Amino acid sequence: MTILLQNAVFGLLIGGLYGLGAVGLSLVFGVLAVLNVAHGELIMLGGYVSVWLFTLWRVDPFVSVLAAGPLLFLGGAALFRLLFTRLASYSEEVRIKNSILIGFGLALVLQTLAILAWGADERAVTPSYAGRVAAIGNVVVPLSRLGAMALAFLVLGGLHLFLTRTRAGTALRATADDDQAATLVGIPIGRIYLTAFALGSALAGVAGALVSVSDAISPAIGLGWTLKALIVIVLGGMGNIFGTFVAGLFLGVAESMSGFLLGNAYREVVGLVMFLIVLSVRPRGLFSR
Amino acid sequence: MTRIRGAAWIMGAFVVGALTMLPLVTSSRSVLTWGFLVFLYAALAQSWNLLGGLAGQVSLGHAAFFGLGAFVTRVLWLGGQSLATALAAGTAVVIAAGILIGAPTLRLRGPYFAIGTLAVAEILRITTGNLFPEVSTLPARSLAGYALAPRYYLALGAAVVSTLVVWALARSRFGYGLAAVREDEDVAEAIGVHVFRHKLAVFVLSSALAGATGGIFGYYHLSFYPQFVFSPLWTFDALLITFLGGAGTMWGPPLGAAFYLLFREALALRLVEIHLLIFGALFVLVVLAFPGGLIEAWRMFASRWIAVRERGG
Amino acid sequence: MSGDRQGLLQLEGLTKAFGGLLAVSRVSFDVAEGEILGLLGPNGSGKTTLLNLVAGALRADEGRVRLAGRDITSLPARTFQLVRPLSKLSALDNVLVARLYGRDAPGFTAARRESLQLLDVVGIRGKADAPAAHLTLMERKRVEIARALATQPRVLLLDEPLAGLNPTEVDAALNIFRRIRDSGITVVLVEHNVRAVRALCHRIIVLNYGQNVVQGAPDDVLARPEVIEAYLGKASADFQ
Ligand SMILES: Nc1ncnc2c1ncn2[C@@H]1O[C@H](COP(=O)(O)OP(=O)(O)O)[C@@H](O)[C@H]1O
Ligand SMILES: [Mg+2]
Repeated sequence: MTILLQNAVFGLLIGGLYGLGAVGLSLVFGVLAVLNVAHGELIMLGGYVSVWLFTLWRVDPFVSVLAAGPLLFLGGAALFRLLFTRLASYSEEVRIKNSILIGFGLALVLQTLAILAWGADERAVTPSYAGRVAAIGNVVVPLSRLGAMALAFLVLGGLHLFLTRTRAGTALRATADDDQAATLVGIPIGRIYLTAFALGSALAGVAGALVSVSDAISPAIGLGWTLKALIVIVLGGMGNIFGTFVAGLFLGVAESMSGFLLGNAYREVVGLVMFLIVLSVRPRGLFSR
Repeated sequence: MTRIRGAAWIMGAFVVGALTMLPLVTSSRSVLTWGFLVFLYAALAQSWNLLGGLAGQVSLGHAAFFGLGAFVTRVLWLGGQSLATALAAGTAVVIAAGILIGAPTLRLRGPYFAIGTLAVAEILRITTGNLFPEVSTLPARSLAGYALAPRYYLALGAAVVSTLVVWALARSRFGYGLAAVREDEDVAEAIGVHVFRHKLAVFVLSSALAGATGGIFGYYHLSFYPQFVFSPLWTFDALLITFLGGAGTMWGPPLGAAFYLLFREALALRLVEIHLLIFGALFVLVVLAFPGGLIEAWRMFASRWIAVRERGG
Repeated sequence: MSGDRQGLLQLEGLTKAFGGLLAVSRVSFDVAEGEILGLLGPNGSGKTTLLNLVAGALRADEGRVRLAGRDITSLPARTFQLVRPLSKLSALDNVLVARLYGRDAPGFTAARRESLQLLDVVGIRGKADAPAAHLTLMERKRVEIARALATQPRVLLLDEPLAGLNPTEVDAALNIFRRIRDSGITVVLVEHNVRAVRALCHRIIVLNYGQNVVQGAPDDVLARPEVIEAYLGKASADFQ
């Protein structure tokens, strides 16, 4: 019983990051109808920002979040200008299809660049508090993961406030709802697209830095994170931040439980199978509007 | 236009004829290996082209079928079955898998089909890696009798057959139905095309060809981890070659495959990483700027050239 | 239509709601063989939805559609309110694929020949090899009509085929429709252009809020005050 509870706790803690990793992808897809399948590679880059800041100057990974976010924001804006602006003129269907193809190539480029620059090995940050735990009864809670989860929750809350309480956020939501109508009421849609993509990338960067708090970073982790983000989106519904967070927690728990019951090798498979089942029952996701 | 097409056919027949002779005039390992790889990639890309190019269904899970074909064929062949039996059984398993996987995923619309197929392929890859972690190496007795020529001919056959399938489909009723599905599913349904049946049929056909091609790879390769043949890189290569040559065209994939491997060799980019970088960037460039691929460029060139000549003469 | 003569196309109590919105509400009428029936009504009155129900593109909540006495799903051919050519295919191929999948589909060569004839009927044989994406709106509409005809439907559903055309083009299109009418095919025509409706239709049905409000001969229906009322505003310019 304790061991199940322990697994559930681990699942919840990693699940918060799944939610954060997915929300940027969801935002970009919702606003631009661009499915950036290189989103996981952006998370990987965010992880490397933290790894390097730690290796060079012993910067705490929680502080590195402050660098990873803005850096990926700029990187995302550049990528958008370079690769995705042209898509805006296509119909939604063509846009999605081409963006998947472009993202597929981009993922390969980013992953290869990372290998060339930093080698294929895993790298980890080792702050002094790594491995410290708090015990609640028989269940242990790793403090670094708890911190990452708390920060993920705060970022998502901030995003929610941004989207609902600010002018720019409202414009973003309007564009996601109906880009033609948004144009009609005078929203500068090109700038909104750019902002949304950059913001989505920044969220990936933050997620990556938080991943590095407790997990090793390597160039190959991108595809796995993209798939997790897609699973979470399908479970949690598009454009629903709270739903995304809950779905992330759910996926985390499901993974760690099945890892415990079926063997660690099948952790990943369980999420993918859930994903396919949900898609075949509800082809547009569980909580979709 | 007919003249260009006629010229392409004559050239194609000539090239295939010359390629058939190749093993008779040379026994150079590097030449035959290179030829083998061009055909293998051409066949794989052509099988994706059938689904993605002709029918417009962008699958990101193609590696699943290549891998399944390679794995099953390899296991049976090494288990003592004749090559023909092993290949046939491998392809049959892939056909069954194509139906099982295609039926649910093809109901998904838009991006969900691409992601769904990717998820299926990843499930297969991870599971295979878990169940069969050991490397598969040809035993000594097979190595002693290993000859490249039969592998070469098999791959050539696969490339020719898959190209002829695309050719025949493109001018059949079924092929026209697929084109309608690709352009607009609602319109297709409105003019009497049963969209789902068409998609499933072409999905299974495409999988079968990919599986047979995988089987040939399983027969060819000396030593690999089972997980390797399920790698998403096989999907990427198929997509890259198809788009490089021209998606939805008959000559695109063979042309793209030759170009891809020439480029790889010529630049001596044997370091996997660097060639992936260049091809990844090239792929993005082609999708963004030259959606018609090499074939489109060649057609534009050829029709200009004819126009110039006719004006001159 | 008098009740004793059975129509080729019969709609019985068709109903369709989108969420809480009743788009089509218990609509019943018959269309006789060879008849051109005009379907009028203000925007949002449910005309396109009704065509979708008849074409089988939407499933009715209640009621049914029968063709020649049998329940049907998707036999009638149709054009789309917003033209939808198969963009990358040539004009000829657009028609050819429909012919290949249509009723009594012939072999490839014959289908090609018949498709070229259809392009002739709609007057764009000269553009047979042009990709549909490169055609003008009028030309695309012609392709779409030829494509619908190519399935050899017993009933043809046309959704605002004249919208967006200039007066010259409308005249050209009217000529095409007259030829179609004279070939004996049964047509349900949704159209705001009153001149066209008057010129082509044998009978008119007016929908409002998804309900069948008026029906009768074109001149009678178009003279009724409630019909003019419904049209005052947007389409009143057409009432010349
Ligand atoms: N797919 C749909 N989903 C929700 N509402 C729809 C849909 N299609 C049509 N409607 C609504 O049904 C009503 C009838 O629409 P429509 O049949 O297009 O009218 P018309 O063609 O007469 O202009 C309108 O209020 C429209 O907004
Ligand atoms: Mg309408």
